[in-house]
Formats: sequence, structure tokens, C-alpha cells
Amino acid sequence: MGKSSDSIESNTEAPKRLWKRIVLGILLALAAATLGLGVWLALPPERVPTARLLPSGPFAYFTIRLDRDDPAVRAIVARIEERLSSRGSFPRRLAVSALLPGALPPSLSAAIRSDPSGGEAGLLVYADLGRLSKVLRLAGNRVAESLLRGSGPIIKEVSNGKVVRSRAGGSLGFAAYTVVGGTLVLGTSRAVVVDCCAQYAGKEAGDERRAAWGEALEKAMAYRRAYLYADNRDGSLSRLVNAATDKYSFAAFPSIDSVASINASVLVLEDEIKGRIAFASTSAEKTEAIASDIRFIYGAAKRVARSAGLKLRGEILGEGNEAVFDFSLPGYMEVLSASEKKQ
Amino acid sequence: MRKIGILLCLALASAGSAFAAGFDTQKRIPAGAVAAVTVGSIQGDAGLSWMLGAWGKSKRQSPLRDFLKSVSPQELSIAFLPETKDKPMYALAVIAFAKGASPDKALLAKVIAGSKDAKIETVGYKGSNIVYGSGKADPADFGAYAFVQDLLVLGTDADAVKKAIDGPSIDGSANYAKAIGQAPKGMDGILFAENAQSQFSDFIVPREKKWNMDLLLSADALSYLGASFDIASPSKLVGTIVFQASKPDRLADVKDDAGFIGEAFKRKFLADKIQYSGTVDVKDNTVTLSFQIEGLEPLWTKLFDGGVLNLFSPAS
Repeated sequence: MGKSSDSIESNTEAPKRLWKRIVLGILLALAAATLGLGVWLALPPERVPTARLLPSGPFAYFTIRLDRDDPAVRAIVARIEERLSSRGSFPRRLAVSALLPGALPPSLSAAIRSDPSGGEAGLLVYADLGRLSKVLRLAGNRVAESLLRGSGPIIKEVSNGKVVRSRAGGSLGFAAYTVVGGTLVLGTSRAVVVDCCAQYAGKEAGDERRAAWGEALEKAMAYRRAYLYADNRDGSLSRLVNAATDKYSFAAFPSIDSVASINASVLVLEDEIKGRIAFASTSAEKTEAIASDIRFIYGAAKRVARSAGLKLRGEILGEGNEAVFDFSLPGYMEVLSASEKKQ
Repeated sequence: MRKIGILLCLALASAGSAFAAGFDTQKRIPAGAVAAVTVGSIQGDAGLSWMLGAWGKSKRQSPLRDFLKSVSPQELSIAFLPETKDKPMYALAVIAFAKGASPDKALLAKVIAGSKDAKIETVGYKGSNIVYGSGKADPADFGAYAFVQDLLVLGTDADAVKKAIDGPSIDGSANYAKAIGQAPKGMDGILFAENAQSQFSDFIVPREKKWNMDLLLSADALSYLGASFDIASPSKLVGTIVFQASKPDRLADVKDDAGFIGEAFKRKFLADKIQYSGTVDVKDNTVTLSFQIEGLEPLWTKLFDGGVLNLFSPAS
């Protein structure tokens, strides 16, 4: 009797032990996976200089630093946070205040490339998301659904080793994106994002000018808050301006062909935005015509700003091979607050 | 709206001295009008003859064109009255004809009936019969007319015509007299925008809101705005725009506006391969933009073929 009861016990113990082992194994595997995921998420992704992500034939580039320690940036983030959470539920408010500061990339950049076949220009926006970029990779199509405009299905493909997600059917906004290192690259077309991947992989013939750009831009990033550079030596900017002249039957910038390049730097302070836009002329005798066009555009901008309650102040100086526009926009934050209250 | 625009354009482009014509169409423009244009001696000028001919040959058909072709207008005044919510474009036209002319009332009925073929009705008012189209859908076109002492008064509606009959007229305005005095001799037409009671700035504010742009920085600092034009040939137009400041401390804004408008003209014309040149002068509280435009002939043709508004359309 005692023997048989021992045998029954050992018969029931064995499967129990097996189950224990299985559960333990699963738990260990899960713990290992979680730890692995945690380590992967914790490790900073490769920081890719935006210059390496420039598309072929770029002619305009813009970048802005969003330093979280900067009082102006903090104030802007606080406004966005306030706006996003003011009308939401408690969980939404909590999510906004917890996620927004972390979601803010340290820099935001954009590049425009001309279509070599004469089609529409393509726009690429770069956001250095750091670790958040990994979450984007994990979330896959769920993120694509909210990032990409259009009605078609999300198409996933691998281009030069990078996953590109795109969507057809949208006429405005972003149509494709990829993540390279810690940088989210959003483009207005699939072609422009694929081109960016090819440039990054170095499969397309790199051009010298592009490399020189990269160097200049990296330097600019180091000491300026917002920076814009537009190259018109191959006439890309002229084509864009002339197309707008034909479309709107209005020649706002007839001297554009005499502009070799545009350099702009903007400083965003807590209560004022100020900056300088320098137009390099192809020859000294064309500088006055460029200055005249800038005066007109300034006049238009001043009137648009005033309509929004802002007082744009500016000064134009044309000398040698350069026409320079210095401007300031005081009290912008106050106007922003007033407009939010009105809404 | 298009009819009013065409009339306005013809008015601006008319030749002969507006001020020597003597038909006094401006005396039927109410003093409260936002802006008024008067031209005279329409039949006696080569420039206008060409304009009328070009309009007559244009592809665009309209009852107003058929009517004006059937009579010989001698003098013309167009005015914009302060708009209301239900009348976003409230206009008046006063036309003088040669002695003995008998305007075709059937054609006039077509002008006020519009595309909806409104029912034509008549109402007596202070000795005149106001004929109007009832149930007319488009408030922007002319919808009523009356003959007042040999002058044809066309209005957006019967109320607009009543305002012309009631008076007082713009002719009694001190600012209007000043604007006439400031216009160079021999001009064909004059445009006057009264701002004594902020009529002009009130007119421009809703448009500026729509465009998200303060077109005139000095709208509230103007006493009036006067413009005069001379069509030297089908291709050439010379003119002046006088900005009369009411606040001397805002003279810088007034000058800025004159310069900006001149530059905007230049750029609009440049896109159509038309040469524009202009200068801005300041004397006391008066800022004058003087300009000359050459190569206009194709633009007039385009204007008459496509309609006035299309000229300013982004798609044109």
C-alpha cells in the first residue's frame, strides 16, 4: 500500500516538475528578452550627421536646434504642451506631459531637392529622435498610419538595407519615411526617401558640392539656432521662383537668376525672433536689383505679420556682392498667447 | 460683379476730360460712397474708342455689353457703397447719353434680370420709376435701374438707386474737391475714395482679413485717396495716386504704402511683360505715386475676353 502510494506520488510529481521547468524556462526567456529589449532600447542609436542623409541634387537646406535647456525652447514646448493637453482627458494630459519633452528632437532639419526630370521638387524632413527612433521601428505600421497621408495601404520595402514605408493616394504631406540610426527621415514622395537611402549607402555617385554642404551645415549647427542655406548655382531655386511667377502671374522676385545662394540664420529668444538673410549676388551690379526685391518681399511680410498682430522690423543693405536683410520680430510669444486664448 | 468690373475698367480707361464733360454723373453718387470713378467725353477720344471697340469684339457676351453698344454713353460714374452682410458688393453706375438718345428698355431689362430671368417690377420713388428684378439670386450684379433727369442710374438693387436719388452727392464733399484739384490737367478719369468717416478703411478691413494681410498700413491714417488716369494710347497709361494723410505722425506709413503699391503694380505687370515705372513724392501731408505703364494693349484684350476678375485671379 505504502509502495503503491509512493509510485502514485512519483507519477504526479514528474509532470509537475516538467511544468515548473517549462514555466521557468518561459519566464527566463521572457526576462532575457525583456532585458535584451531594455538594453537595446537603452543603448543610444547611431547618430547620423544629417549631411549624410542629404538627397541627390539638394538646393535648399534648413535646420533648427531645439536645445531643451534653452529658455525659448522650453517656453515653446510649454505652450505646445498646454495647447495639446488643455482640451484633453486626464490620461491624455498625463501622456502629453510625460512624452512631449522626451519626444522633442534636439534638432529638426529639412532639405529640398529638385527633380532632375523637371517634375515637382521633393522635401525631406529629418528629426533626430534618439532612442525614440527605436520605438518607431518597433511600432511599424501603426506609426506609419499616423505619419503618412493618403488613402492607400502602407507598403513596406527594404531599400539599401533600410526599411522604407510608403503610402500612395495622398496629394499633400508626407508619403514615405525611413529610420536611419536615430534619425526619422520623412519625405513627400517614396522616390525622395529611396534616394536618401541610396545616398546614405553611398551607392549613388556622391557629388562634391553635396559633401561641401554637409561640412558647412554641421558647422552651422554648432553655433546657430536656426539656419537655412539655398544654393542657386544650378538654377534650382530660380526654377521654383519662376514657376510660382507663372502660376500666380506675379513677379515677386524677378532678380532671382542673379542670386547665387541664400544664407539665413535665425535666433529664437523668449520674447523676440531675430535674424539675418544674406543673398549672394552673381555680380556686384546685380546686387541693387536683389535688394529692391527684398524690400518688396519685406513690405509684404510686414503687412502679413501686422495682420497677425506682429510688428516685423527690418533693414536692407546692398553692398558689393551681397544684399543683407536684418530683421526682428519682437513680442511674438505674447501674440501667440493672445491667439491661443482667443481660440 | 464682372459687369461692374468691366464698367469700372472702361471708366478708368476712358479718354477725354472727366471734369470738363459737364454731364455731372458724379452728382448722383451718394456722399457716403466708399469709392467713385468718373470719366467723361467717352465718345470723343481715340483711346476709349479703341477700348469700346475691343470690348465690343471680345468673346465674352453680356447683356450689359449689348446695352452699352446700343447707346452712346458720354459720361460714366461708378461707385461702391458701404457693403452690408447680405450685400458684399454694393455698387452704383450713373451713365449720361448723347442728347436725344433713347436707351432700349428691353435690353436694360435683360441687364437687371441676370441669368435667373427675374420678374421685372416697377416702383415709384420721388418722381422716378425704379425698375428692378425681383427674386434675383446674385446680389453682385446690377439688379435695378431708374432714369433720373436724363441720367441712367443702375444699382445692385432698388435701395442703391434710391440712395442716388436721395443725395447728398459726393460732389459736395470738401475732400472730393481737393482730390479733383490735385489731379494733373488733362486726365481722363478720376477715382476718389473717401475716408472722412473711415468708409474706405471699413471697406478694406474685411478684405484684409480674408487675405490675411494688412494691405495698407496707413488705412486708418488717410483722409482720402484720389487717383487720376490718362489713356495716352491703347498701349500706354499714365496716372497718379494721391494718398492724403490725416495724421502727420503716420506719414512714414503712408509713404511706405505708396511705395509698396507701386512695387506691387510693377511686379504684377512684369509677369505679363508690361513695363511699369513709378515714383513716390511727399509734400506736406500728401504722398503722390506717379506712374506710367506701357504695353497694355494685350492686357486689355485679355481683360475683356476673360473678365476683369480673372485678371487678378491667381490662376490667370
